[in-house]
Amino acid sequence: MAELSDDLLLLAKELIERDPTRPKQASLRRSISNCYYAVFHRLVKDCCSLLVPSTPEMRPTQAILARSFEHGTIADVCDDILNLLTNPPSKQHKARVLHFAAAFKGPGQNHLERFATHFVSLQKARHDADYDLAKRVDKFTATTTLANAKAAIADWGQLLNNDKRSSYAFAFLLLHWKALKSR
Amino acid sequence: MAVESSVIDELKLSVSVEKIREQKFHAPVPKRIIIKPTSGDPDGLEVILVFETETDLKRFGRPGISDMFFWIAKTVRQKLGGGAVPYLSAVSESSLRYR
Repeated sequence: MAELSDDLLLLAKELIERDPTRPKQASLRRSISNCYYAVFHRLVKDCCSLLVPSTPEMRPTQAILARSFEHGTIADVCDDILNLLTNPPSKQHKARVLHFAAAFKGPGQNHLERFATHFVSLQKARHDADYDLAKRVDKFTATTTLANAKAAIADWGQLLNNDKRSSYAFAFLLLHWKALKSR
Repeated sequence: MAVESSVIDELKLSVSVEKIREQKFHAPVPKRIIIKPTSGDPDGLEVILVFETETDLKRFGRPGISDMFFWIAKTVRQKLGGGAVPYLSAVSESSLRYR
């Protein structure tokens, strides 16, 4: 069965190519929105599989867990991780910050940085596409958004396959960042 | 804290069209780059890559343009020493007239 995220990307491409000479704003805006949701759903699905066993009896638990991911929190975590990697934490930082900073310095660091960067931009692009009607969306913007969504999914896949420690730490933070950050 | 105009001027030197060309991405080189605070978000920074209207992205494939986006975002973050992730977008010259 094809993944939802694959289908969303396919649909995003079809929407860009619909009416090649004069694409409709609705098509381009839905294409950009689909790109973001393709990345979001892939991330959530894989995080659920990481944190809860993919067995028939645990599927309902995975489904409940999937509803726990918040768009804004994911962007905040991406933002904070990029800050952590740009500015190495000092010894004065609390132990949990040092722990996660170390976790993200693994072999998948480059893929995590790339994924986080693209995710934040894709979320903003979706927001613009869905709500900022004063800004005209063009085919070029939609095409580069599709390219970035594919790149984000590829980087996430690389991280997942090559750096289990970072993947787990990232999935864990997406669910618990708010609580951890305030303590 | 809002990004000061002097910082934006420095960023314009670091992520100029020439600097991008030097990186030799497998992607079209933008005609010009607009860097400005995000409207409605004083802490945000927006980077708009403006391409020729007739640019054919299909010739270059997927990774090149994404590599370019990532390189620009990373360069900006390093220059700013962290802070908000810049919002990057690409537009064609003709559509910019309508903004």
